[in-house]
Amino acid sequence: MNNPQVIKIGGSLLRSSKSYVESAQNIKKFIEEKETTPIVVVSAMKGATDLLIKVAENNDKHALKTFIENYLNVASELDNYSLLERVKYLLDKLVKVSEGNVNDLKRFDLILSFGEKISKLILTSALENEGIKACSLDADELIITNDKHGDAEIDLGMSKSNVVVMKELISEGILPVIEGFIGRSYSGEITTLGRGGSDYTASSISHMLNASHLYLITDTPGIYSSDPNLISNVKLVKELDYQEALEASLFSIKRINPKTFLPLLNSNTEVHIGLWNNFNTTVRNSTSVSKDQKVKVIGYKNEGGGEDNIKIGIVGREAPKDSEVIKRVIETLASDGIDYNEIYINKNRPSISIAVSKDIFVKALSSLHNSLIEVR
Amino acid sequence: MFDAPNTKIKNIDIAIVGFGNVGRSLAKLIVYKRQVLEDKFNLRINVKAIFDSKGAVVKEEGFSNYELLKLTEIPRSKISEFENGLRGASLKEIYDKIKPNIHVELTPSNYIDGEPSTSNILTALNLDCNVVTATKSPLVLHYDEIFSLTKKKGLKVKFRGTVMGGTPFIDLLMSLKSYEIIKVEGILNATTNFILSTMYEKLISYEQALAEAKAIGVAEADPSIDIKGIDAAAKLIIIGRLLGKRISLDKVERDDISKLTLNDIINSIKENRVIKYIATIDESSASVKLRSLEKSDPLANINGTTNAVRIVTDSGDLFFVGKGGGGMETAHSVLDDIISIGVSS
Ligand SMILES: NC(=O)c1ccc[n+]([C@@H]2O[C@H](COP(=O)([O-])OP(=O)(O)OC[C@H]3O[C@@H](n4cnc5c(N)ncnc54)[C@H](OP(=O)(O)O)[C@@H]3O)[C@@H](O)[C@H]2O)c1
Repeated sequence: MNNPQVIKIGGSLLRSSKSYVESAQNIKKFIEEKETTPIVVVSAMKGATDLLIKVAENNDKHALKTFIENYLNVASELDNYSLLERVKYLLDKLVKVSEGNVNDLKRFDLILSFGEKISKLILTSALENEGIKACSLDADELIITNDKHGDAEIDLGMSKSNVVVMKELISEGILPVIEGFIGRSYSGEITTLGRGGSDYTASSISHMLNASHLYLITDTPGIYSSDPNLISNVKLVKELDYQEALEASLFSIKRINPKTFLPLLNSNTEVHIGLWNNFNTTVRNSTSVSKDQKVKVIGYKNEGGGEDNIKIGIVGREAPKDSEVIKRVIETLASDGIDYNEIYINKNRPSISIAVSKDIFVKALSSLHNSLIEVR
Repeated sequence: MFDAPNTKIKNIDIAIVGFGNVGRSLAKLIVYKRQVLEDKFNLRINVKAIFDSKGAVVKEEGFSNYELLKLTEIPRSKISEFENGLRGASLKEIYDKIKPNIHVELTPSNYIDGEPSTSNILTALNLDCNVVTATKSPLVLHYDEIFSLTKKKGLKVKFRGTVMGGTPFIDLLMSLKSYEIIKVEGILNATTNFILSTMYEKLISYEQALAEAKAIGVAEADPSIDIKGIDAAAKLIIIGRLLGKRISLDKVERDDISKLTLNDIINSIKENRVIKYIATIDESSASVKLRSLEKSDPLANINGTTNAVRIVTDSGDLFFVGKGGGGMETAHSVLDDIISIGVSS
């Protein structure tokens, strides 16, 4: 049997019943074009998790109401009686849990899990409407994590014997749909994997099943060379290796959860990031990534510790090894009159990082981007 | 990987009666473990019929993985609306046709008359089916009748899921053949232990702790079976049977934990003690009581939905800790019982 392919559908694409139907149609097209049945990992509907956070943190009744209405609308519009009944069943459960009104992390995770669970039922139903044999699998049974509520790590060894069932289903032509973002702790409770956790679920499944391709489908055509909200002339990055992608995610690029790339570090899974018909970024094994482009991404992160410092990261495998790049970084900062507190040239990681004060960081980001990326 | 021995696959045909929490988990588990069961035990488990309170679905050649997963997606009480579903179907008629090897009983426990589970089990035995049950009431109320028929028919009845459903406690207890068991005592009910430990952890009243337990699904909407000690008493009776003791439900002395106040909790903390809801069976009596334990007692440190049992024997104490129940956990015990009947029959 061929190695499986995994598709992860991001919440940014799931905004209405129409978007669930479109996702299902795109999956159908994928099956027909690639002649293979993929595994589908699905996120919660756009905005759902934020609403649930309000429910969990402040017992926000209005947020709960909006959450319920959004999902009920989608489920009723899909016009499938059994779906609606199951969505209602879960929503009733959510209402009960939300009445508990206690602050603890276990309850927090339990509440957050409903966004993904319901989304999965809806997508499965939409796929069936397209004539695809699809089945919902439960991440809170199959994906085993440690007990770190809110930011759990997947135990790949333990989960592996559970997820093999997906391979069997595929071989029978059944498409497994599983929710991302959630898992089951060693002590049997629902855990969540942190922001962007669905990507991490998808990459972990890819690792465990030795997938050949992982498609992270979102609402942008790929990974940008910097934050498009701050830098106007960002470029799409064509290729990254896993280490570079991990580094880029640490510098908050595209808000991909950094844990996503960890399971892939020694794998052969090619990751494609982008829109359904337009994957501009590929993440693959370093041996197959060209060395021509030295700087790929310039990101940033808030450095904790109370300092008003922002750390800018210049990401690229060759960047910290290349004296031309280093020279250029220093020259750019000098010529644009940017004061920096520290510059750190990583020997073990694919980045150069520079600490600058908060009020000049956008200027710094933009100068560095212009000189290191825009120029070529 | 090594080559699997070229043994013929043995087909085990089962019927699942009761398709709620545990029943659905079992159906999924059978799908999840299908390959492993074939590779490791040369067993193929065919689910040929499933019943809920309103009807049944039947498939003589056994449900496929796809169908089993789809069945678990059907709303409660609606499986008869699935393809080939039958409303109000009788067990006997269906069993006459599909002749299952194992009847799996997963209906609710009913301590008033033990129905429908007792009749289901007796019907199945009369039709030469082995039985696996997670439902306790038939064993509590009609043990002798069930086991004399089992013996007469040369069949097996297994019930690992009934006590500490997420663990092999029952099998462990049955395996202690050379010991004299003087006493078995422990925390056998997950809901009440959760309530008690939440009262300690958050210093809240019984009512508040119960509300929390309900909110996260640890307590049922009507928790009286748990808080009146009936569930734990039923488990003691089953344990008693394994020790050769015959006790009836009304002979088990029971405390009602709802009488516990936050004050009781605070006083016990001051005295460096912990109140636990302990089920005990010994030579002469059985009880489910609120007991104040020394903090150093291992049972005092069992919290949340965890269960624990101390088996006092003539050669020392054995201590057993594990998951009390939960749909998936109990389904594992049920599946183990199915496998053990499967490999030995
Ligand atoms: N849940 C646990 O953690 C656990 C642990 C150990 C043991 N157990 C025992 O396992 C059994 C099942 O537990 P559960 O949690 O799965 O209960 P549940 O969710 O309430 O499910 C009970 C199932 O039995 C069905 N049923 C009721 N009356 C029936 C009848 N006359 N004929 C056929 N089916 C009938 C119900 O049908 P509808 O769907 O139509 O209502 C439902 O499908 C109980 O006896 C329980 O004490 C449970």
